[in-house]
Formats: sequence, structure tokens, C-alpha cells
Amino acid sequence: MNDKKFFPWRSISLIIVSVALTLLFLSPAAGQNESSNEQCEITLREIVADNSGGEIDPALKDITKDLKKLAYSSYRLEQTSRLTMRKGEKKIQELLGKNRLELTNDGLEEGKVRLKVKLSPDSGKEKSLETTMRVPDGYTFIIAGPAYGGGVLFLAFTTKF
Amino acid sequence: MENKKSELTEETLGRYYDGELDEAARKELEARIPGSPEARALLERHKSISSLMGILGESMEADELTVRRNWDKIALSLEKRPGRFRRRLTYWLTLAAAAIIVIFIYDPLHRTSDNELVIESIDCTYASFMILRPETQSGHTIIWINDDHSTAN
Repeated sequence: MNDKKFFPWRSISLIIVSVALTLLFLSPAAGQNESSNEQCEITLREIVADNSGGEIDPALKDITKDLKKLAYSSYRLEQTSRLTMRKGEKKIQELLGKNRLELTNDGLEEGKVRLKVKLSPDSGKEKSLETTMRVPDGYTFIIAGPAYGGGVLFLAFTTKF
Repeated sequence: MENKKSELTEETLGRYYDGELDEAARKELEARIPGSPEARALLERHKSISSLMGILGESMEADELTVRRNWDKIALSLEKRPGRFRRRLTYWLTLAAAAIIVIFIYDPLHRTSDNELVIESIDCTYASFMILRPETQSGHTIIWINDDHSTAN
């Protein structure tokens, strides 16, 4: 008998195509299409750093390793805010120490959210930090340095989209 | 010689049964057979063997109906065979699907290495600033602003 005749090529093709379609359906790219509004949620933690003690707030466990490298011995979580933004939407947040934050969601690109961040003192217009960055999902970045009390203000941003 | 032809041997009887003897020898042999039970028995055996061969032969002949059925089956299978275009389409579709699977397997590795913050632009009018990049993938990028009295390591 001819074995070739009975080799299940058709079944194998069907299995390969099915697996590929399933993977495409489950892929992150497909997920992005589903959230076509490109909504992004930013969790903003306002942290005060000084040398008044030697403790790092347990709520900052995820960034403790990074904070320990800096010149402060004490880190205290003061406020947590959640900012939800659609593509193109801008949110303005008043921060501790009369600082002002402007956040703009510029949409998703290559699996990352493009964020425009502007930080400045609420009153003075003479200084500001403006940056545009692409942030992966679940990533935390920190902007630190504005003076606050006897120490400085740390802002930890965590993305979710 | 004539005598030998009409002897009741197995060979002669076999030739007789097969109709190979000439008329004279056949007649002489036919006159002797009734008086020889052995010759009759031998002829009977020839007959039974012949009839058995006939049955077998008939059963092995390809009858017209079977031939037609076989040809119908062949024609049907030829009709069922997908066309060249269809076969090519199946081939390329399978190949594309396999490529998608391969890309999907390797892409997550690529994504892991690309799981980092990209700073496209930065404009700072504070005294100065610096970017502290994480040493490991689990670390976090810190943008440090020098707001006069604040310092970093």
C-alpha cells in the first residue's frame, strides 16, 4: 500500500492554521485592537524623602531598591492618585509643595504608551521639566527633585493600559 | 507404436482426456476402458480436477460489473482531488500559519528585552537634571531634577 496516500496532511494543515489563528487572537496586538480608545491609567505616588529617619515606607516596596541608592534615608508615601486618560486627553494634578503636574496620553505605540509629562512649581513659571516618553505597560518611573520641606518630592508613576 | 498409444497408462489416459490422441488410438482406448476399473477411476479423477479448475477459473475472471465499479471509484477519487490552485492555497496558508507560530514564539523574547522606558525628549529649566538608568531589568528609571538644594548620590 502507498503510505503517502494515508499521511494526514490535511489534518496537520488544519491544526497549524487553527493554532496560528488562536495565537493571533490571543496576542497582545489583538488586545490593543480591542482597547481601541487607547485608555491608560497612571497611578501616581507622591513621596517625601528626607534624612529625618531611616525608614522606607512599606508601600514603596516595589521601588525600595532604587530609592536606597539615593542620598536620603527616609521615604514616606504621602498621597496616591489614579489618573485615567484616553488618547489625547490631558490631566492636571496639583501636587505637594505647590507643584503642578500635566500629563497627556498621546496614545499607544509599539506596545507602549506615549506620555507627555510637564512638572513645574505652581506659582513660578521660570522653571519646568517637560519630557515625552514611551512607557511599557506596568512600568514604574520616578521623577524626583523638587524641594519640599526639608527634603525633596519624589513622584512615582506606574502605567496600566 | 499403435499398441503403446492404446495402453492404459496414466499418460495415455491423460492425453485421451485432453483429446490429444488420434481417432484410431482413441477408439481402441475406449474399447479397453470399460474393462479396467483403474482406468475408469483415473478418468474420473481427471474429470473432477478439470471441473475444479473450471470453477476457480470462473471465479478469477474479472466480471464486467466489478471492472465498472472499480473504474467508477477511480473516476470519483480523481474528481475529488483538489485542484492545483486549491492545493497551492492550502500549502501557502499552512506555511503562513507556521510562520505566525514561529514569530509568536520568538516575539515574547523580543518584547522582554524591549520592556524598557524610552525617553524621546526632555527639556528642563531647573538648575540641572540627570537620568538614572536602572542597572537591571527589574529596576526603574529615575529623572532627577536639581532644584538648587537637593542632591543625589
